Amino acid sequence: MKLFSLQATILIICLMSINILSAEENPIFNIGYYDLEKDIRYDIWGVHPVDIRSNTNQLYKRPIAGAELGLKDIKPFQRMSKVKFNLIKKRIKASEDASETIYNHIIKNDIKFILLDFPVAELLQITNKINDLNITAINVSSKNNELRSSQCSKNLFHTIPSERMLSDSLAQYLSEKKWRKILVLIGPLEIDEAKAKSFIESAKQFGLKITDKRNFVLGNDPRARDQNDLDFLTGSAKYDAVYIADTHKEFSYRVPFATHRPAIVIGSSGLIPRAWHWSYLRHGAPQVHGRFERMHKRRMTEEDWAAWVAMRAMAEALVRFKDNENFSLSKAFVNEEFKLDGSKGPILNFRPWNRQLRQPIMLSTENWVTSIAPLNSFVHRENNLDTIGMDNKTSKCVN
Amino acid sequence: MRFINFIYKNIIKLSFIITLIFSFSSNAETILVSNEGSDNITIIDLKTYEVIATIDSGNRPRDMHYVSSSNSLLVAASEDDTINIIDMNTFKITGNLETGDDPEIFDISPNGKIAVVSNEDDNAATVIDITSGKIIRVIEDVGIEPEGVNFSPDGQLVYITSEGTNTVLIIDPWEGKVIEEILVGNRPRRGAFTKNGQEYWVTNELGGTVSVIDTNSFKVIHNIKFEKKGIRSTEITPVDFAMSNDGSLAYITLGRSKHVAVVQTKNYDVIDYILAGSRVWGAAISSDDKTLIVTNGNSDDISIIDTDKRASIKSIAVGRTPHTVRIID
Repeated sequence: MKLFSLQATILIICLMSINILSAEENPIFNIGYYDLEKDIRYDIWGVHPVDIRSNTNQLYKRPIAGAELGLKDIKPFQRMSKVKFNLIKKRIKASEDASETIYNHIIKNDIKFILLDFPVAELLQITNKINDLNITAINVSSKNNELRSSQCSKNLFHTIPSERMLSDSLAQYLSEKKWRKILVLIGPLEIDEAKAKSFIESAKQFGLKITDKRNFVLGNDPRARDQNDLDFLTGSAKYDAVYIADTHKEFSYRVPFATHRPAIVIGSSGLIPRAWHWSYLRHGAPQVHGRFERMHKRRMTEEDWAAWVAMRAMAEALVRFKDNENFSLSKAFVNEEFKLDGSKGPILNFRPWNRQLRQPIMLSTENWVTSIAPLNSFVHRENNLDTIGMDNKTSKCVN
Repeated sequence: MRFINFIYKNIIKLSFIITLIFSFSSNAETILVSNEGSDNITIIDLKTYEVIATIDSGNRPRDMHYVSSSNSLLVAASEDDTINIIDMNTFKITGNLETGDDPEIFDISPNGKIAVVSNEDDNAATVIDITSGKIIRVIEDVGIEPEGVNFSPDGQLVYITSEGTNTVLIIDPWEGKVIEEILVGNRPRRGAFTKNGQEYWVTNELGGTVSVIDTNSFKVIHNIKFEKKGIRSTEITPVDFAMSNDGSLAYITLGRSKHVAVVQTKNYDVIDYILAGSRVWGAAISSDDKTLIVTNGNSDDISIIDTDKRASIKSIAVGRTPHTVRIID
């Protein structure tokens, strides 16, 4: 009898220890990452044997790389947030319906948080479809202004800046330099039109003068030389700077040093406003670049940064605000006490009116950050970061 | 005549040597500033505020500690992945300590045997035997971008701030173990123990606060906030400390706001803000608590602050991007 009770005790102790062990194993927190197999933004480009848009490997330039670094960087947060992070990637095939596939994938895999790398049209379909799932999503690549205004969606946050934030940054810089006369060149794509429209609005707000707007096309047809020849395109106009909207970049790369008048080139080449540039040396940015380059053997782009900081935002919210089962990431992101470190200077947080991440913008050349916006002379009654982008008065977001 | 000529020609050199002899033979205190942009160290007389010498270090010198027993200065040369040993009699580098990648901040155990350095790029802390200059062990997983390193006054534990993980890690350097992790504010940069060793204070650069940790319970017992009319909260970026030797005050540099906060240690009251220079980071205080020196990273100079007047009385140009300041006897 005695022996039996001893055995029972041992058994109970064993069972208890198993229980303790399993209790220590943190629950898995699934993160979904979605992008498109065929995305025009990541096309391999031109007839060159190497892609001249960068001196580093651009074949794998999708921002999933930033999310992967983010996952590695938030591993130490697991101790504090009591969860185990798991990143599930899914690339949507051309034959699939993106919104349907993602909807089912989220449910099937018990996904709590998603990152979306899509052009605006697909992004809108996806966010409409998943609205009833009550899941928090972050847009890491589309800069479309309407997504932050009339087309906003209640659970969609943005870590990539809007076109308006980027164009306001350029306009602040030109205004401070007193380079006020601008010639605008616009590419053939709808997205180029949207970019140029955003810049023209910024120019108006910051007191610049648009001296002319001209459309360009890529090509050598002598009959269309007023649209493909730079001397014609930039001739017979007065300007201090030439702004160019060219998503594909193949045309814009030839514009600097080739304008009819001596003028700086801004926008899609020359001085480019970006969320992030690898040459930035302050505020802990070099450590982030260093980790990224060691992991992916290429430069870190602004989309990489947006995906990386989205992962950090989620981890930061979990560590600081997860106190009960009803925890909502979307609520934590707009909590007044939410503070995010993006390694570019000030503390970052989301604008509650359109869920856009407030952030400084790097005005950069190909290998240097020339200036940071907002510039010191532009002040806002509450937060100087709100001198760039749509503030709560101009955004039409009501959701 | 020849002799007079010699003196005449070499008067500058001679006077320099005489100043050196005076400054190091007398008990006058000396200010040392590491200039991370110009790879050198500026040495300044605390009494006269004259620059005595500018000496070469390794590349990107940052944290420094003086070892009085050997009259040498240990300097983290971040780009060279080493700690230089500089002989303070000759001002020459006489040796190096192994550190692993990118050493930024380090501390020496009270018994002088080991040093612990944070390796910002490797998310690790390295323990070094000072006598042999060799690495004893590397402690991995101390959070992303570890920075501040401080030995507890009893020398048993090391507190490390992790900028990217927003925590303070407490490690046992002798056994190589992580003992505890404490959540603090955003981007914790540096830490300092109060003179009685009961508390460990941490600057949260982006959180704009100082977290006070109880060294017995390992809990955050207080958050010090800074508010000054005319300064936006986003400008308040605390970085470094100087604890007064009498234990009553903490001077905290507030980075972008160009101010130094004066805090009473007994009740955490912020009693004053002193205007210094652009991006004020490093801080050190004289042994009599009368003079506070701070480095201004964006204007390549240091400010001398009179702690009775609580005002800057002089600024002295040093090398490019001054990082750490120390005052030695």
